[in-house]
Amino acid sequence: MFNPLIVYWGAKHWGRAFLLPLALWALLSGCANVQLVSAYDAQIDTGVSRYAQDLETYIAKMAGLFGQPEGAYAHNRDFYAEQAGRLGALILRAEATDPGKGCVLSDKAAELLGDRLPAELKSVAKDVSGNGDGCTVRMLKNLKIQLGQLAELQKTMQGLNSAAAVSVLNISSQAIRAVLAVEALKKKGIEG
Amino acid sequence: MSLQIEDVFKEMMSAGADVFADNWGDVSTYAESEFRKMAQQIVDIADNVALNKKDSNKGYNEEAAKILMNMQRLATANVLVAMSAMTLVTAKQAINAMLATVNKALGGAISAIL
Repeated sequence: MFNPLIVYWGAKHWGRAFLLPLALWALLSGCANVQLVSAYDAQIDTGVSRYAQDLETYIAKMAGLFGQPEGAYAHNRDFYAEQAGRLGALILRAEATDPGKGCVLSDKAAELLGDRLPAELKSVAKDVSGNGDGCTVRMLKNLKIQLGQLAELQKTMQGLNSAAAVSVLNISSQAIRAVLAVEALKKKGIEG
Repeated sequence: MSLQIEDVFKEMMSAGADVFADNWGDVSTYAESEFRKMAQQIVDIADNVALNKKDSNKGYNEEAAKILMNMQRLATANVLVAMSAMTLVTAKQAINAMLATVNKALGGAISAIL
């Protein structure tokens, strides 16, 4: 247990060289593992990877079916329901392991970006710290919102032509890659 | 006015370095790669709308482009959130490594006194 008297005694008798490491050890030994972000979760990693594969397959299939009834949103509602359910389950899982500290630096980033941040993005960024969501939770929620936007696009275009398919794939991949990049870094920390 | 990828990219990199200041070194490799893709995607959307205006069988219209831009905004938000998370993960790993070293080096000797 941390005892300031012992630290004082150590400083007086053993000099300052002893004081710093002792004080550090005494102060930090109570926190064996600092939890600033949620820990690596293999199920989120594999769940998001599987979502990426399914989405890519779906987009390629829709581009091939453009102009046919099978390529319209109405024929593909099941895909959206299934994937929304999968992302919903991953969000719940991430929320369960969220250390509850929010995504601290995103708030700072939003504040510093100020007027340079588009209004829509500002509200998203503000929401990151505003409701205390962890970074992983926030990113997964964004994937789910993006899936809804894809459904909206498919309804609007009555399918997905090849140009839209390429754009959707690039944009979705970027959002997905963000989640996987963070999980990969967490995993590297465990293995390293 | 045609959008230039390099111009958009440079603006993003400059803003990113500003925003992440001291932590820029931890995330700059990831940011550079993603900002470049982001710039490419924004320019592609503009190009597809221009193409569609010339030939309605090519590219896509403004309504579709608006939805795609909203999707891009969320992808951008995810990149920014990921950059923030990366700095937190790096900080966490550095602190935990330091704790482990301090505990290993001093734990045995000092725990007897305390």
